[in-house]
Amino acid sequence: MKLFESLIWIVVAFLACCLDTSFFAFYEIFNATIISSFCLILVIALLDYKIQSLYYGAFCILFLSALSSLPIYSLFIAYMIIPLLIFYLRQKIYFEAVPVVAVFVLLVSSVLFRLVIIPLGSFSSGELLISIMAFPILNTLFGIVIFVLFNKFYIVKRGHN
Amino acid sequence: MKKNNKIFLIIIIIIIIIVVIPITRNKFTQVVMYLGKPFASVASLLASDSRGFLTGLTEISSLRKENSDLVQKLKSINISSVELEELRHENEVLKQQLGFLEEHQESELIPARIIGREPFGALDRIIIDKGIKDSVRKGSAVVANGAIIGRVDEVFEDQSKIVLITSKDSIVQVMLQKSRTLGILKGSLNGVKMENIPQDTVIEDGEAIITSGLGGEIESGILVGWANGEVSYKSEIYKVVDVEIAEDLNKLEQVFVIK
Repeated sequence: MKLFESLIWIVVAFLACCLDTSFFAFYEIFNATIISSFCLILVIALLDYKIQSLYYGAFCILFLSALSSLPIYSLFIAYMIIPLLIFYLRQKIYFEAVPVVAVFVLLVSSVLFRLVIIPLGSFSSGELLISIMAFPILNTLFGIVIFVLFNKFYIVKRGHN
Repeated sequence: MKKNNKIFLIIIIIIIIIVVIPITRNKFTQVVMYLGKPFASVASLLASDSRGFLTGLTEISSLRKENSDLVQKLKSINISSVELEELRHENEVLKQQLGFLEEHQESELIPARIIGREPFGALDRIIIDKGIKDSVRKGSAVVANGAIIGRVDEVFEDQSKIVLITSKDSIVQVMLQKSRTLGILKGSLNGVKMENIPQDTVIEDGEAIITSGLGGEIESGILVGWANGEVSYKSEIYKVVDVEIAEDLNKLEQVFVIK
């Protein structure tokens, strides 16, 4: 069962990465796009982090390294370090995963990620600043949708089992 | 749990090996792109269709306002000498392009559809549905509506990655069409710039910039865009010009690879 669950996460990672590059990437708003794979791992980190979801993050790095030209270190930060940090803080501070907290975590994580993928020396353009603001807003909104769906179907289903 | 951790550690090591070594990374990219092609094709098609639908909806809602604006414009339209000058200039550019096509009749265009984009908003690279099977070669120029938009960066069996001229990794040999001054076109996060222009060059705003053909990979005479004002200081050795690229890369769906 655990192997099956791990495989499911790998397939989800593959589909999410394909969706990011072939669907959401076509909808650019102020040079920012939705990164569904990133939003999903943040929501997992907020709600139900365990070893299978680490596979998801690892395979996201692998698939995105093939499908995008983003530096590997930034993928590691986005899909490993940020979720593990959320998980660590969740254990240390014992915060509850409620929508308000989810919004805050998603917003801060997206800002962190956006700052990592843009070189610090290139903040002169106004467009770029707008894109830096648009990215967290867009991904937080999408993340909240995933958060609600995940809460409703996945967690509730697990609770009943 | 400890067993799980060990497995995870092994997976991470394998991932690092795959990602870091170029040969394994290329092979892996090929496999991922092959497996993902059907999904990517459908997803990109859905994206284009739904984008068109959403645009249509927006158009309907703004139709009334647009209509009244157009009526106003129609009333006040007055073709000024500046506009005529622009048309004359555009005509010259088109003639040049026509000349290019006539001169390079041996050049074949490979039509390709965009099935993937850079997902981080940096608009760096795109993935097209044509590859080695369709005679796409690394380094070939990629055009849309007669203007260059990038060059082939990586070629796989039936897909290719294109590095766009807006990418910071893109360097294209170009020249100013009127003064025939050579320069280098570089992409950056702050827009596309033409660099290495000698200080004594007089650059007109709106002057066409075309490929120079230096280096041999990209043919000469392909439209790149227009000069949009100098951004360098007089104390600098070379002039730098901001370039307004000819194509809106956000709206691209179909491109052509020059064989």
